[in-house]
Amino acid sequence: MDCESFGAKKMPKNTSRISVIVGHYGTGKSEMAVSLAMKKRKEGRKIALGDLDIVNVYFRSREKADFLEEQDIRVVSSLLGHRSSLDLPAISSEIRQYFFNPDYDVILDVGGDKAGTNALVTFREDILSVGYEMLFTVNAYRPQTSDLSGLQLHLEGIEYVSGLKVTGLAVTTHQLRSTTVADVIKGYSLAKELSLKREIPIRYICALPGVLQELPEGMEGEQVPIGMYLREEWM
Amino acid sequence: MAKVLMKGNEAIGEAAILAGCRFFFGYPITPQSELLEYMSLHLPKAGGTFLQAESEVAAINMVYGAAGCGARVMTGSSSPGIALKQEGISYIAGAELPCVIVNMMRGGPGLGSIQPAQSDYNQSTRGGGDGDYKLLVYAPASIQEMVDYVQISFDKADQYRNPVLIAGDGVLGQMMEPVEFSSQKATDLPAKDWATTGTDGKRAPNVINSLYLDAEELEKHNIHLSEKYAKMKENEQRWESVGIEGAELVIVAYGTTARIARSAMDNLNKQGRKIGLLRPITLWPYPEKAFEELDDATKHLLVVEMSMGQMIDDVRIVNEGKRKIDFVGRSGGVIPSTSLVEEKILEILERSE
Repeated sequence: MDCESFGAKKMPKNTSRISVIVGHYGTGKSEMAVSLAMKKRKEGRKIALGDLDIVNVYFRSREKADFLEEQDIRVVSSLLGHRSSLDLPAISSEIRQYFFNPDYDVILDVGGDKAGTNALVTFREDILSVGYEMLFTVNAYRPQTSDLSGLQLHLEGIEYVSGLKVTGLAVTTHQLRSTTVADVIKGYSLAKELSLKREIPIRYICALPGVLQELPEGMEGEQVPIGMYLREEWM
Repeated sequence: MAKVLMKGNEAIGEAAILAGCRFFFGYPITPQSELLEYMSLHLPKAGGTFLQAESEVAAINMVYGAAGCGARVMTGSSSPGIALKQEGISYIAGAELPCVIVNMMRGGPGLGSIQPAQSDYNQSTRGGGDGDYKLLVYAPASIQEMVDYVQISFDKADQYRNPVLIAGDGVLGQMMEPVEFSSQKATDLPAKDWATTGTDGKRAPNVINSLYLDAEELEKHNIHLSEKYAKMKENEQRWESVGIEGAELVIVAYGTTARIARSAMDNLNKQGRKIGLLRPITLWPYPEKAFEELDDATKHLLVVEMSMGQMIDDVRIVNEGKRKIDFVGRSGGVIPSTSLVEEKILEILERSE
């Protein structure tokens, strides 16, 4: 770690081995984190998924830890294990070792809103020293992030608390299993507004595989197929 | 209004504000705290009052006060918190005041767990407080249905001057689904001429009370309440039945569990089985009428609950020994899987073949 890295709000180095996923709660961060982990794993990368959500105990990526470990994706959450009933602000320091292991891509699934972002602060210096991308989820169907001002309010709050810069946007606008191309384009258009306003590129478009196939050519951002991993078939 | 994505807890808050709720008193508890958060942020903007009370007991007594003034008022909690409120709920029912109480159930008994459960069925339908009283209890199974029933709950509470309980669970509170806010408001509700809003010196004071010093007076009051409950029993039973015609087995399940049961049913019917689903929407009054629709071909009922088996007693009462009743469930915060329900159904059918 060089001493430069201790400055706050430093722009990230040109690497994205660490992907930090942040956003308003309920915008699809955990589903995206799990789906992105699956995508990167299929591309042959070694993956460590850090579930930093200590705000809400329901629908966290650690719920899928057994499944992900079967895919050879390392899941790190509480130092007391992945049990969903543990409502404790306890994150295992094990995640740090993957920050500094160049063989690994790290995905950090951060809790929602400013409150959830607090858990990220303890890792800020390490993340800054290694370099990162911070992805802000855009879900146009969530009432608080359905317009530019709502999105900016959340983005600024998260940047303020984390001391890190959002470097990319992720379109996570959906209507669950009935998501259409029009829904994704609605989210994309909103993300584009934010992108132009803040000069942040759209990094990912996340949607059901069938919807991704139907999207028009020329849209900015890499496609992430959403596996609906956190929704049981009856949900 | 276009569909938006909301968590169950948030959606209840929004629906309550739209239904004219202007007072919310509560105390946070997982898995329903987002209802308080939502109300704290949005109720003041609608001209309402949100107050985080010092305890659940304080909150329910604040509800008692606001309801006595004729306001639309709500409180919410989860299982052990609702247990704490029981004394106040009994007072409110005794004083015949309208209010809406939300219970996002979690595993019990005691402090239990923070994961979803349906083990407050008895607490909801039998009365956790003292005396001969009943709550009107709705058990929605989706966020949309929960939103629609918030409006219905406020209207029915006013119509009957009775507390209404919305019985959800951790999954319904935390789950995100697209919702639309377009519920129809009731237009023929009685005037709240009983409310303590000041006499202006023009009438005798209204009194809100559940204490009777004369036993015969109290008995008279109990008879009056019983007559009211009989009307609710006659007019307010609600349920949904799916594929019950000619079904060899009908699953009886409510709320989240009904969704799991529905998945199991669909999977088995694809394999050529004839399984139906009867989903009580009112837990009290229990939808007895629904069971009259059941086919002679139906020899088995399977009750599925996120508890050790509580609603099964009502199914036994309604069934009057006509069909064989089995049970499958998980408790303590464990959600039953579709395959667990499917396996149980196949086991029952194979046993009887």
